[in-house]
Amino acid sequence: MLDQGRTFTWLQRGFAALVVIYVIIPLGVTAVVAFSNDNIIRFPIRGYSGRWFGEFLKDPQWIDAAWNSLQVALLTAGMSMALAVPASYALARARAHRTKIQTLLLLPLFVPGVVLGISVGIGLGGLEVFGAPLFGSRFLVACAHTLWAVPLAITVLEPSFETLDRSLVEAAGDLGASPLRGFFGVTLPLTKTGIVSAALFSFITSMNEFIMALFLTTRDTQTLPVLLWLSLRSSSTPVLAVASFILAGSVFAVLAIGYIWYALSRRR
Amino acid sequence: MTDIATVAHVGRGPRTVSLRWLLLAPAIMFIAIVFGLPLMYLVRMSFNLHPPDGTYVEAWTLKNYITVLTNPLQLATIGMTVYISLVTAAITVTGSFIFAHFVWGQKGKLRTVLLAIALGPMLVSEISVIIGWRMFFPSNGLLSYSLIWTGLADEKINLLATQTAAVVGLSYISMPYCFFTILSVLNGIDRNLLTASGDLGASPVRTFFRVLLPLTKGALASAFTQAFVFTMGIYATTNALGPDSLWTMGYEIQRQMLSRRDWPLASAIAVVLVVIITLAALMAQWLRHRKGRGHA
Amino acid sequence: MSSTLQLRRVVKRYGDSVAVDAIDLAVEQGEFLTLLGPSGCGKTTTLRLIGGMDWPDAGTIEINGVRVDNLPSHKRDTVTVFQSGALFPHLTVAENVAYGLKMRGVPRADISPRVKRMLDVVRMGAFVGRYPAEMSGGQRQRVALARAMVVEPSILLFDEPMSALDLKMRIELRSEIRRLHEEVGFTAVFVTHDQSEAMALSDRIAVMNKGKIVQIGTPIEIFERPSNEFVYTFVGESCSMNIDEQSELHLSQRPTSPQRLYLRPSHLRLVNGSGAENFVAARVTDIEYLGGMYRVHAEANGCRLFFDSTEAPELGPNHVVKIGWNSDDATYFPVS
Repeated sequence: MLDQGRTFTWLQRGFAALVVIYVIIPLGVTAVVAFSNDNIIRFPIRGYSGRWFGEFLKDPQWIDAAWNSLQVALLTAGMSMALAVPASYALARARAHRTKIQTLLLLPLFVPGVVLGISVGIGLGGLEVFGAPLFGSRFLVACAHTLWAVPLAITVLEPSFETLDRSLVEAAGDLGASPLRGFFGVTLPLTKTGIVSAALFSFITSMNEFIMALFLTTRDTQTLPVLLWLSLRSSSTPVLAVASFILAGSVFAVLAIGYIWYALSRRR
Repeated sequence: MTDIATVAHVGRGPRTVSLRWLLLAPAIMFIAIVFGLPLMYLVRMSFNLHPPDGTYVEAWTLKNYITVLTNPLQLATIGMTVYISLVTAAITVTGSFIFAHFVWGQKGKLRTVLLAIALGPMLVSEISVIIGWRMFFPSNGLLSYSLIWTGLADEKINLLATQTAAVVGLSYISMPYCFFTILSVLNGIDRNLLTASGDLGASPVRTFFRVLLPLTKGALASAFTQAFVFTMGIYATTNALGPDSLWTMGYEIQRQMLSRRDWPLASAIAVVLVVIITLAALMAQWLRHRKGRGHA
Repeated sequence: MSSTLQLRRVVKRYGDSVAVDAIDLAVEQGEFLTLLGPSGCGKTTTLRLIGGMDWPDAGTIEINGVRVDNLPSHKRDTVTVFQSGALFPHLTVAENVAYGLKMRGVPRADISPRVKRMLDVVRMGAFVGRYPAEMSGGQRQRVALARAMVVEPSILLFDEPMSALDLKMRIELRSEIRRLHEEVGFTAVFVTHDQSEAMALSDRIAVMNKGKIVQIGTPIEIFERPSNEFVYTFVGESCSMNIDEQSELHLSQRPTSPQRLYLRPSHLRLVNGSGAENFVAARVTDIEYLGGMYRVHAEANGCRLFFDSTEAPELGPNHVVKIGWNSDDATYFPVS
């Protein structure tokens, strides 16, 4: 815009370019080193190969960790949606007490992962469900992750339900649809973008989280990020970069699937 | 789900209200059981005693809090955590503001790409961020290599285990939150105001200080608080990228909990951490309301 | 003596389209000139070029004989009143009005009295300490006016300042601006698409279309002696018909080449066969009651005519009538 001096604009552009580079550096470096052929992580990289991917896939510890991550993330997404969808629906229509309940449900977001991790660990870890101790179980970790996933999902879902044109639901009822059919036949399809987004956020939050998981998992149930953290000091082979790459890659893959679904559904 | 029927009739009959509570109940109960109870348990634990060979012994004592608030190591930990959080918040907010201001002026494809870039760090796990920067900063990392390769340095540079590296990593994680907070406020500002200011004779610099900054003050304060609170709770990045002397409360909690198995002390530190965060958030709120009226 | 504002062959392009196509314009001291035209005609672009919000691609802009087209807006002696008012929401009314004076380095002691005086002039003296959010649209625009005028710029620019207001406020503000112009005597360039606004306020109107000034003159000249079809139809209501396509058309003097005849509704009336010099046979299609007045719509070979009558015409749809006019009132433009 001609409101600013020309030099100022160029400075801003330069800074923006720096920010872009800044964001890309850790991701780019990881991607590059993941394909390194060296035995340790170092620059310059002497050769490139997919060797370390092979090592990753051959190592049961890594595979189990990845599998654990997936299970916990799916569990988190499922639980968070089951809780958040009805809650958001109710909140979008409520007038009384709305802010109070909203604040209550959003509260866990403001508590650091460390604190949540140890309090859930101390508070619920000793309990037993169906004879199996909760501590170290994937279910417990998923519950902890859900504490962050539910508020996030509500933040996305509530506006979705709010902007829903209620006259459409009323019209459905007017035409003879029972309330339940109205919900599944009209409300859900119209808010499905919000629902899918909320589910994706919940999944991603859980996949990426490792502080709570660190406190709540054992060797058997450790998730990928936890194993990455524990390996940080002991291992300095490119397999770290591979694991990190796969972790980030899975998140982007899930987002890509969501985006493709979104684009396809709009075409109709 | 009698919503439709009740909307058509009375709208606020007893059936609607109880239905609403029914829908909210699972979420509320979940939060109460998985969040509320453990937190209460945490607070209770902070008053227990720690026996030398176990985790805890039931008691009611202030010993842990006294330790946290008087022990030099603990106090230093608190001080350093607050310090690094303030520094990170300041840097992140400044950088995010400049970037958000730039993106505000962009349109179309470029804007979308920049928004995606700004969103990036939020989609990546903290551990991936750590690993990425840990391959950049050390003496055999990318930074050192590029500096030597371009001739800007003569020998290897090791920036790992420095405060700078820690702040870089911490800023990285906080950046998206600050960016989007600031951008959403900027989006609500009528660009004509800047044009009008120039039209009335203010140079771009004066327009910035007299019009843009006052209108974004709230957003900046909010972003600063967010970044501060967020960084206070992080320990992994600080520990992995920063010097060993940079001890954070999070790290101390983890150490007391897992290595020393002193659950009561760990709980006390956790409670103090939450209190500091709450105070910071409340103070920010209070400052915002004191500012008075007059912004968009 | 140089004009207060002089544009010479100013051009502005956006991509492939030409928004302002080599226009020349001179505005004299104290003159109120309106740029009038449909959306997309280039009037707002021209205003922005004058104010310094945009640069011309060719041509020069001079204010008081000094070239300004290379100066940014904060260095030009123009102030704009925007459609949205653009009052600073974080400043009070007084602080808003004082802004331009502060930027120009007017001494503190002088600012306050000048601000107060100007607010009294626009009749907003009681709102000194209020914030823009607490006022109505019309009140905000008056403060915007005060903010612009207090600086006493060489030229005041108005960018459709009333478009966002409702009808009542628009009329109020219109007479306010007119009164201020008569009292203060500022030089103004006013942009609008509303021709009654243009007619009421201006000393001269420049009618624009597709980036060019099509005609420039006093409101009376523009209305009564439009230089082409566009101006005729844009300013004021009009009816037109192609002469050669009309079978039942009687003219006292028939033009030689193909022409299109233009008339205003005020020129038309019902006539009997013999009494009129010019008339056309038409079939009544509708009679509208407009409150104290009746508008008769008729159709002659595909051309739509209408005129107003204060008495209820004793006609109904499908009546065939004769509509006549005086030769002096007829305007012809060649068929393109």
